[in-house]
Amino acid sequence: MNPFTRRSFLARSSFGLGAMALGSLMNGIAGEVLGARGLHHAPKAKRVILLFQAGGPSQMDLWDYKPELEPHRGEVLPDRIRQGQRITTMTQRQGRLQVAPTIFEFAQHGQSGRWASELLPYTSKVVDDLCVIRSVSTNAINHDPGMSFFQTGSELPGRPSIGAWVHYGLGSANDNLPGYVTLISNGAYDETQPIASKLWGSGFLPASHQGVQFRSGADPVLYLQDPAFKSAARKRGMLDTLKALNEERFDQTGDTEIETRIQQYEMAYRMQMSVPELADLNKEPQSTFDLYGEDARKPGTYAANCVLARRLAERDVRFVQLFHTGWDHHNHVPRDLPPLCRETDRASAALIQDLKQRDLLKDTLVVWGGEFGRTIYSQGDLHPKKYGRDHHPLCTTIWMAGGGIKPGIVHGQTDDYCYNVVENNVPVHDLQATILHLLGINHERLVYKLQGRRYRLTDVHGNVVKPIIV
Amino acid sequence: MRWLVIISLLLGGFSTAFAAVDFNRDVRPLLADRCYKCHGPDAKTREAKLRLDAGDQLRTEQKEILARITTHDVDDRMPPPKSGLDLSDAERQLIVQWIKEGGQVDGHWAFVAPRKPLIPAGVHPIDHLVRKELNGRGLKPSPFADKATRLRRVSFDITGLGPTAGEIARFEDGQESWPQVVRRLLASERYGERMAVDWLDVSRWADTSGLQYDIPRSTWLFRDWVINAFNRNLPYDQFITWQLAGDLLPNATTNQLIATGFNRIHPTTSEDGTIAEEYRVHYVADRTITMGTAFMGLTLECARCHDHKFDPISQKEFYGLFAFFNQMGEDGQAMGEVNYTPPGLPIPTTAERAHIAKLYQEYVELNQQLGQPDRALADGQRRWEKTIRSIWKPQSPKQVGAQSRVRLIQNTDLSVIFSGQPPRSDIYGVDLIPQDKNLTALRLEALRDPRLPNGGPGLARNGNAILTGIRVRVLTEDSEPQDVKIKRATASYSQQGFPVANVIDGENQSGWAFDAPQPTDHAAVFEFEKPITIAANQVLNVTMYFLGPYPGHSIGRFRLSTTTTANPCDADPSGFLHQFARKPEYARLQHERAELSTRYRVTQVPKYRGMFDRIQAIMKEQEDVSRKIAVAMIMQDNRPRPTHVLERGQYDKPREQVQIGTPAFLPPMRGLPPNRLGLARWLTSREHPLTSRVVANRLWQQFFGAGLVATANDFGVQGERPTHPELLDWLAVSLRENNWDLKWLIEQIVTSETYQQSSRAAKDLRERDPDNRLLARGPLRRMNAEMIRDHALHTGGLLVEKIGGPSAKPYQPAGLWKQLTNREKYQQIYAADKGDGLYRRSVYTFWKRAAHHPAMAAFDAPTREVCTVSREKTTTPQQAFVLLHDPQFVEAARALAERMFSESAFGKTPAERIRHAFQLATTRVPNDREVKLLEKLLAAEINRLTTAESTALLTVGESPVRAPAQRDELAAYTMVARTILNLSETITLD
Repeated sequence: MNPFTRRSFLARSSFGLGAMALGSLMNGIAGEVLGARGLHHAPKAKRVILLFQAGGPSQMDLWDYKPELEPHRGEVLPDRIRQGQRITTMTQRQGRLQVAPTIFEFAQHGQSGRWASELLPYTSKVVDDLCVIRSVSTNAINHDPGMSFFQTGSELPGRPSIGAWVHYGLGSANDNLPGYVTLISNGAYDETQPIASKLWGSGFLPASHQGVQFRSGADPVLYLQDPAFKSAARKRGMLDTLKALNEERFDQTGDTEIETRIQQYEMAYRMQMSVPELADLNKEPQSTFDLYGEDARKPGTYAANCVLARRLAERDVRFVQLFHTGWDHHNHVPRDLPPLCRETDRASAALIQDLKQRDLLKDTLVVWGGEFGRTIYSQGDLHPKKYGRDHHPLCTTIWMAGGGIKPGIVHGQTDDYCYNVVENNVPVHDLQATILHLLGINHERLVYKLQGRRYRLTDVHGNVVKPIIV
Repeated sequence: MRWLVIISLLLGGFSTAFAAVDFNRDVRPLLADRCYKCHGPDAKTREAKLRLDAGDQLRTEQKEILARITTHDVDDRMPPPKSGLDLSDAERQLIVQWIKEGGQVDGHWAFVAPRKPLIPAGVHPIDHLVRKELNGRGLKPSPFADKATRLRRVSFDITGLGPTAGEIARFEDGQESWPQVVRRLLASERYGERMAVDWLDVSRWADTSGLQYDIPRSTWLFRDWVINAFNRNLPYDQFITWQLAGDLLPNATTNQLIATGFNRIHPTTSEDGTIAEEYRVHYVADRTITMGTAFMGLTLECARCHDHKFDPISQKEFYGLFAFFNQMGEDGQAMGEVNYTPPGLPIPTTAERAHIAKLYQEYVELNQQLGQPDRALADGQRRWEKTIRSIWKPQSPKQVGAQSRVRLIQNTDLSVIFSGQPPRSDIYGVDLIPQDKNLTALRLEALRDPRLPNGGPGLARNGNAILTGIRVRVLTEDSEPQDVKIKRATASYSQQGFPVANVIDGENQSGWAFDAPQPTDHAAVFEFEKPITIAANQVLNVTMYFLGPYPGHSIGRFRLSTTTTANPCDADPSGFLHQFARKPEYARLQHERAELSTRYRVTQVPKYRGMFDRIQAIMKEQEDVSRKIAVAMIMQDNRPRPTHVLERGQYDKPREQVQIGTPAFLPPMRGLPPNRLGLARWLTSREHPLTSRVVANRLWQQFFGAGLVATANDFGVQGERPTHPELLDWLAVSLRENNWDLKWLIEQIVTSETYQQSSRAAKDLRERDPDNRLLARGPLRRMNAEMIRDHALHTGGLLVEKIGGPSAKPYQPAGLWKQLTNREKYQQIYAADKGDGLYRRSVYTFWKRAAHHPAMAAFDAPTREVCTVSREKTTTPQQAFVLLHDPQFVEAARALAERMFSESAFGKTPAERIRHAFQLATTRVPNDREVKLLEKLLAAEINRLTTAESTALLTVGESPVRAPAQRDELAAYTMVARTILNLSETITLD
């Protein structure tokens, strides 16, 4: 058969990054075109910012308001709710699963009248821009498989991350920055979640589709900085010689790979110029810090990363994935949740406002959420001012905004105990299918054939959640 | 879709080169890809009862197939337009033509045993078979590559490193012939290191556990075994057998056991809250799937959840293979903070062995002294015995309860007995009101009773029980309970593998058990961190957990006591000492007498106290030494269990039970033991159609960049058909006939003219066969990640060659690990090595799955979470950054600049120096234009470089500057060397 399969072709040419004889067609311009037209249908979003709250935010303390539950405080979780469903081995040993309603105040906000916790004073102000989904459910009961499932569609390692799939499908829309960027926020918590590069990895897709980690400090991209020269331009002479020698070799051999490499060195040179400029928040006006908070001046904080995410979106970086790793509150929700919200609430809301005022929200999809929810029963003893919560895969709340998402709505409903989804269940694969759909990709057709099997982000599952789309 | 159009426009030429339609080559792959999803081996999803992968329907239904694929009626058309599996016009035409030509159906080529083709005398079999294909297409082989190019190619392919200037000269002068070169390279120990890289990809080897905390394991033992096995040229059938079943070989050697680590180095989790069985099942499935890909090129994973969609592997057959690997006792939630997960085999170094032997000897001597009779102590001991008779005060429970709601009845002796049906698991709660102040410990007695199974004390059929946890709390009205911390636990007896320390390890998987030949009373002592006193408004609450993996293992009768004795775990570790002391001396059993004597001496007589302290210190030291000993993770069939089909592959949905066995479409496993050893023998049997082909293809891939079967990981019907089926079969059968000698086969490959051809190709050949599948020219490839770094170090003269040992940590940007795992007790700081560790070959670079070394990752090194048979080759800006800025490469460039000065025999003019460095990196003498370009750069840099820049440039890396040159001059040459190391040619094998 045709030996030049799509696969080997894709392996050598990362679109957006230039390739062989197809170089001019396949570089930035092609990515631009695909982003505008979509791969399978017209897109509603051109780019995605995924604000991932690793550890599992407590949905009933933040979004999913259950006022009727208060009289049941301290009661054992009824069997009709638990329904024999599995729980982690951390609370299996616990004698009683006591119901622990939230101790935080909720109020209605915006024209939509959305209920939100007092812990989210800033996000409360932008609820009319958000679609709050209270019915996201997952398969995994632990962090590693849970995060892996959310980011790659599989609980076990080895699959490409969602950003890698998008990059594979659409390429980059930018020819001096990577098309897929990962930002990890530095936190100072005891219980940070360990994360792994598989969460932005390319799995079995060629490595050119993996997320490029942007870090705070002198080297925002690994090995960006020359150890001897401060300015990238200083090496221009050497790079010109290198290029001339590579061209000479190309003339001798006709090896087209040399042309690709020449292009990649040019791209690297452009990145050396563009990345430091991008990562430097000092030139942001005071109004930015008024909006995101002064925390945004400290490199590596969640707030600074939110500003960076906006700057990346402005430059048409297709997929930005931001990690905050402090949400795993097993032991002391009332003590540990408020500071975390103070750290993230303002910047998350600011990002929405900022994108909106720059007219970018209309085609930028922002997603906020974690790998699973938390249990309504207390992990450990229940006290008036102290309770913990274990992992809960059956429901959690996430929100989405912009990029073709209906603003100001709520989707899905959980039971009175915030335990099971009773209306409009949104499994993680549906969420992934929806994100791809908004980008103009049919999740069933974005496939990569390996070992005879057509792999998809959504495996054999996934339905686009139509009611939340404009 | 647009892409496909572009590609087929560009490359259309090749696919239409075939004349007659061949079922296996042309039709089966199409049917498999577009039809088998609904009309394939999977009975559950089969539509219209039509099966097109096997049986007669493919012959009898051809008319219908023809009608369905050609109709314009969208309701009738196959494949259904909605499926996205439409046939292109060309593809449809192929099927039509096949049916018109008679619709011959043959078995899938890879499932039929290979047959050696006839080779005329006096020709190289490989060249003969390659040229047969070329002749048929009117193509001619290319001329030999020049000698230097060939030497570079074969040196890297066999050893992973390039030739030296001396080696080039010897070969070019004819002092060494091509066969001599090949034999020299195959005899080099670098060969094992080169071969290991690919096998470590296949065996998904890494230094860390992979999931959640990604804990380091001493898996380097397995890596070293692989290197040595290649260097010793272990025949491939044994290579397979040792890895799959070394433990089942008679009198298995240490090396054969280490080899079984192949089945153990998959990712594992130690995350809290994990459901252990879920992950244990994942591990067994991983072993099964890896075995399938590595040895048979089969995609078994598909059959884990349902019958395979394309290949004739049913879900039941998958679990038949799964059963081979399902006979081991292991914990799905692997232990954290240690360097292995059981079963393991400690492999101490000579020094560690000697250290432990010395400790042991001292331990034995001290114990002897401790047990010497000493009449002078008799009176003292009698007086002491009186004082300990009532150190334990049994406590009357104020309240008792069980989670399972079984009845717990209080006896007059203050013990509590269970009544009813033993539940699967249980938790007991007891409230006590001890009156004494400063309680130092709690004692739990597990007591026999004729009413219990086998007389107790436990509820298991043999009278055993497993206590998985205990929690002691002080409850106060109107305030939060206070946990009482337990610092130590001792017991009268612990079953092997169930030490009492398990009770206080903070989780409920492991526990304390006391399965003994004769059921007897047992006790455990839990010593508090600080003495406690229960006030008037307080109670002492004790919770006991029985949540282990074995059902029905709670304690049937128990009693709780407290003490105020200091150091209770030393004073009465068994919890029964006071009972012995109460007996008249003549009535005491021997072990009771010994226990009393020892306890008296160590707690009351200072001389013995010192000995005892020393014994404790020895035990701790022994523990510290032992913990650092590398442990090989190995296989053991120590826990036979039935295997079931798992619905959708889920651990908690067992269905029909299955027997150990192999799939029916492959030769039967006759007369072989139904275990992994039998499986290995079956794989390496004469009749097996896949094993020899798969390895021969992988070796071919190593030397040509692509296998004869391009899908080296899929020999099933969805895989690509071999470009040269006869050649593949010749390689496969010859390998087996030559005692599976891999070096022999490699020699055959690289001595062929096909391998030695020039890789240059005229434009029309490049367009006609862009991937060089027809082999009308030599191979052209970018080096892999390991070669690129090793070559730079080698070129700079920095490479430190030393085989084996714990992994090395070369330079890495700071903070990478910490940003991912910011927890104190888990490895979070990457501490780069000093000295040699920075310059060792990359096969030894520490391989962390969660954060693989970024310079390796940039050049497509996989994360090794799953079996990888071939690496992708990409070209990205990140690669430019690595070669330009990674200190490893900057330092290597400086070292190369130094060589331009120190090796002045090659000349002292700038042009001569440049030529020397260029040749070291590319094995080629540069032409004048190239030299001039670099000379120009040199001159410009001499002008441009500031003192600060020069200093900065020359101080990159740990190695001292050695060159007899001026700083600024050396810095300028370093710029030249950096340019050379960044050349596309430097990292390319042409």
